Amino acid sequence: MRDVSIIGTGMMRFGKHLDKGLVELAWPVVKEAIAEAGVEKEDIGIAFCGTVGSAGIMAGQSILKTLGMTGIPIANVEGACSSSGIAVRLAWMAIRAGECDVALAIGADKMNRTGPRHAPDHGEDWDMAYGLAMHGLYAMRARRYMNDYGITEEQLSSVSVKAHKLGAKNEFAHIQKEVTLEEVMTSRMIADPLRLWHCCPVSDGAAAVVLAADDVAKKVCDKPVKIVASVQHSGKYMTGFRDMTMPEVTQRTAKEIYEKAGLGPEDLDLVEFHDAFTINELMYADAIGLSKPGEGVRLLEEGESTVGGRIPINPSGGLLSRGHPIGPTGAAQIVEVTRQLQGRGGARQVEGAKVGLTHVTGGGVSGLDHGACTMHVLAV
Amino acid sequence: MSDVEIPPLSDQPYLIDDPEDDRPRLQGCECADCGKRVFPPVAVCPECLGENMEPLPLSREGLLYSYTAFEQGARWVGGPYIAAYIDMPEGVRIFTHIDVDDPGRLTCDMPVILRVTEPVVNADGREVLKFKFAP
Ligand SMILES: [Zn+2]
Repeated sequence: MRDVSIIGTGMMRFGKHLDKGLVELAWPVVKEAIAEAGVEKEDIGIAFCGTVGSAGIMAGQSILKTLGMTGIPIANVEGACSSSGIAVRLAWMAIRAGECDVALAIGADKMNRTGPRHAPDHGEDWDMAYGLAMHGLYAMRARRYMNDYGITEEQLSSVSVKAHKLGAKNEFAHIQKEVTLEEVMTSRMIADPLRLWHCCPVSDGAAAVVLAADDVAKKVCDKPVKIVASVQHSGKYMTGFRDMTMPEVTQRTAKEIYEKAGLGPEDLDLVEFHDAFTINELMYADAIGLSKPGEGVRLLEEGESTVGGRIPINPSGGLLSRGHPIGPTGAAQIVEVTRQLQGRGGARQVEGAKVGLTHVTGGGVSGLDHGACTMHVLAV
Repeated sequence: MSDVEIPPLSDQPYLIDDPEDDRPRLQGCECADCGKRVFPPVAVCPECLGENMEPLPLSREGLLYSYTAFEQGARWVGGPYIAAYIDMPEGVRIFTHIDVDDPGRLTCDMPVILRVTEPVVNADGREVLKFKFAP
């Protein structure tokens, strides 16, 4: 099968965009991604739009008609927070399968319109119907993780301090300011032990990625970024006990992507992962194999997980700073890593980065660790 | 999302009066073909796809796997409330609420016991939960 590279990216500042509709938010990032790719809009053979439907159905068609790009197959993809990670993966699959040479993946949502949507709200899901909001799920993970590994509130809070220190340098971040440990530890309680500054903000936004078969990519792009591997899974349904400190879907997806990419966690130069809450950075560092179980906090305390350290985690400031509009989050991570690998990381550039990993989970479903998990290994 | 409809979560009863001692207990189900256990009761076995799911009365006592005190909970439930996962001796994990005045009393792995309470009613006056667990 053919190799596939990313040749164009489009990104905007995530935030509270109450004055704009979804189409208005999204078309500029699509236009930017196509311009950057050096292809004509007519070259796009298929498009996938990751969205949780905050603007109703047919988001992809509505966005693309604004740019005169309909007439091609367009599919709207929902995988909760993983939606546009899946959209990129489907675009990658379409090119590999020979369906077309150039494909587009978009992510777009307005969470300030609907309120966060990340779990089944059809009323048939037990945990959800009885009040398991996502911040509570992560709060329970945090409680158990802190219990099992002796992590303190201060340690948990320092994740937020680090994330916002990096996010302050990211022009696309929803929150572009640093925060002190004291501010984090005295902020309003949301779901014990998670306080306000332990949670990502509720954001609106869009991001886009243009992918091409390698032979096309080499012709049109000076510095294509290769998709070395792409893996997606859903969580296994478990009615019994499961270890909530070691999220199985992330662990399983990571294991498979390392095998497919022919590398290991020690080969990564940077990672953008799903830090919707502070506990995620510790838990996912373990699950992705950057640390031994319970030792994710060491990366933080030894300065290894910040820019300049051995393995920068979320140089963009992550979901905690950049914000989390749900649909576009996966694509935004891929835009960030692509630009980092092209040396376009600006004030947060990871020097000499050659290999990067993105990871985005999605959705709370009773009995599943997560509804979805999507990971990509990118390289130059 | 106050417009969320909450249909019956199970077409079989999950909270029953135990004829033996006249007190309520929770009921899951067990697959007669492969032994898979599920709470709340379901019609089809997620393991072997058999449709011979038999009632499985659960113990009243379980262990508190983890919990959180929601200041700001799910919009359709309101808040504050204490949510938890309870691990039952029968091998199923149940999401529920905890009935306790001081959440500071709670610790992971402590025993908790079923308590049938006044139903938790949401902002729309709808019953969302008929039972809790308590230390
Ligand atoms: Zn069975």
